[in-house]
Amino acid sequence: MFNLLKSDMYRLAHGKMLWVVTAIVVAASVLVVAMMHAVSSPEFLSMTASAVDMTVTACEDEGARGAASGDEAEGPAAFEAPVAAAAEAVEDVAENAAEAEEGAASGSASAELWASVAEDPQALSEADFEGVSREMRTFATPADMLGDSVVSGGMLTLIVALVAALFCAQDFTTRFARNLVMDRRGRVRYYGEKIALVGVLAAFFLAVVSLTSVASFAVAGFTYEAANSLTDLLAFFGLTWLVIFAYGCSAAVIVWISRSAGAGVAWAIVVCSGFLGAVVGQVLLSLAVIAPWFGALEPWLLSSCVQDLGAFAGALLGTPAAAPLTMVPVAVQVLIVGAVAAGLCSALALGVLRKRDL
Amino acid sequence: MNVIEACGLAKAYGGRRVVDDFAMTVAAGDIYGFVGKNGAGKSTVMKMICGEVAPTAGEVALFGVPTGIGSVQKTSGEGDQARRIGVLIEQPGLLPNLTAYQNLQAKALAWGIVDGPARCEEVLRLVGLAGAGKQKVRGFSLGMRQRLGLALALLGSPDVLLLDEPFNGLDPEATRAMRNLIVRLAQTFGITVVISSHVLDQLDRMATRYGVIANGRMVREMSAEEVAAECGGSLRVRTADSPRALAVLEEAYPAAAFRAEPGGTIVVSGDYNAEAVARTLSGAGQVVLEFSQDHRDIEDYFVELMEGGATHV
Repeated sequence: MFNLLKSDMYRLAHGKMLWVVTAIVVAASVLVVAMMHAVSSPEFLSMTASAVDMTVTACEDEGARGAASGDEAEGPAAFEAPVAAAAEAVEDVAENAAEAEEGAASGSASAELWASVAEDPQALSEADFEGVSREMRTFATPADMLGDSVVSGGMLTLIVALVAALFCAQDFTTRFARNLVMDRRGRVRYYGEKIALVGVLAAFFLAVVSLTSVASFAVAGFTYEAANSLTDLLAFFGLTWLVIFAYGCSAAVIVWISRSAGAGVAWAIVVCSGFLGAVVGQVLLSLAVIAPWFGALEPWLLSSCVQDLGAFAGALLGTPAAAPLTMVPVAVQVLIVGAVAAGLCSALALGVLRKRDL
Repeated sequence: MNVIEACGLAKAYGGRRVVDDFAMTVAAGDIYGFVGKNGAGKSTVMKMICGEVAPTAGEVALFGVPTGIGSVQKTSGEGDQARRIGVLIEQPGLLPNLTAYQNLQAKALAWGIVDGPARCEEVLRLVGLAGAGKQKVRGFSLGMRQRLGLALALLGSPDVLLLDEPFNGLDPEATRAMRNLIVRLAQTFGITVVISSHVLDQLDRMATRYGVIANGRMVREMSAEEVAAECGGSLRVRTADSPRALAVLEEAYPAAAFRAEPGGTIVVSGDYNAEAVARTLSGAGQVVLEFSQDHRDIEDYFVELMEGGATHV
């Protein structure tokens, strides 16, 4: 099996796919950091605040013009309505910022900023914007940064599943698998090695994205309030790897069942990106009105575990799991879901699919 | 020693048996021509031999060891024996984005071949692709792909080669090069070759044994000598005095068979020598009016066998 793994690594290293995907992943990670750097800059914050200020002023002017035109019927209403709408919009922004950033270090700062803009746009100084920018560029911990920027979007699970699907399909589309020993024992080795390869790919891309993000955020001047304990980091990386691995295995299994790269790619895009999981989660939550146990199933979806990993990245061992396992940390919940998903895929490949002729 | 023995082999797809009660014996050193119509089950049999396809019933023994592929119990020989077989079935399994050398190296790593890089260079030289090792397979011609497929099959230094239609799509020159290579492999390295092909005249030039499959069953296995004897020529002789000529020949060649045709033509078959027959007739003062040699076409012979697939050995 180790020989097969060496062979696949050789093929990956000498082919284009791995390097093209790695370049895309690195570029995407850098782009995310660049965008976060741009939106958290004092200039951008100042510009946004000015835009809001101008909106409020414009609404007030429009109202005043309406009143001056002597339109008795519409004047007061026309004056009051836009101002009220603008004020409401600014308050909404303040509320949304507070909600969205809840729990994050920068949350209170940006919420305060928008609250200040709502109250008195002229009162803010450059120092205020710089302070808010500093706070927005400070993550709670490195794990929280990775959870936020790398895991929760579903990019990693999608990328690993895509590469796994395309690589596994290549063995059948090019018939290269025929060059391998494919008797009964050979097939067990083959599928076992491919599952191990998905694990290696998951570890590789997790490492690439993590290192790129850490380096890019550091270069962009982002800092951390505190460091993670080694246990927290191990829990975060271990569980993230497990979930990515489980998604990758599922894509590989779809390819082995269908013997089609298209089916594997479609599965990766629809399922491994978290799209289908989000839809199913919403359906389950909606059905909870009829039967509450539907809602209780939602946290136990693999896609929900990805969201948990993103949201509680730095505190996976300190956040309680979903019912009925509220007495254990969410890390255990993710571990159970990830292990069951990966185990099912492996059992299917090694137990059922290996019996199928090449 | 028999390197391949198949017994009672069967394969069913969706309830339809494409191979049924199939028996085959290939001895060490044979160049075994495996002949059959399209859909007769040649490729399926070859896939069952190398383990690509699991038989529905029956057993395959490689080098005297049952592979156990079709049986419930695992045998100790499984896997180890499969490694002694090089396979080129249908199209070669090549990675188009890699070079010829990298394709070979990928398989060498997978098989754990000791000193893989040197072996890759060696087989590239052997199949005449030494100069194309660094070229991407995507740009290879059909002939080059077939040769690279053969190189992949040879990489593990196999004792047996299973080649399914290796001449497909090759031009005459490439076909001749491939045939010569196969013969050289058998003669120089002692590799046993099982080769299925529709190109019967190519098989005729190299096969030492034949197996004919029809409707998923082995119709007949025979040596090249047996085929030559059965397809062997007959001599048509017409003289001015046919009864006298027949008597002379029957006396001179008791092992040959003679048949007198209505027009006075004598057909000689079996053990005879045309030159000697001519001398005998001349010595007996016979005026020869016709003297020609007929050969039975090997294609006709095999087609006849394939169409008689209902009767099997």
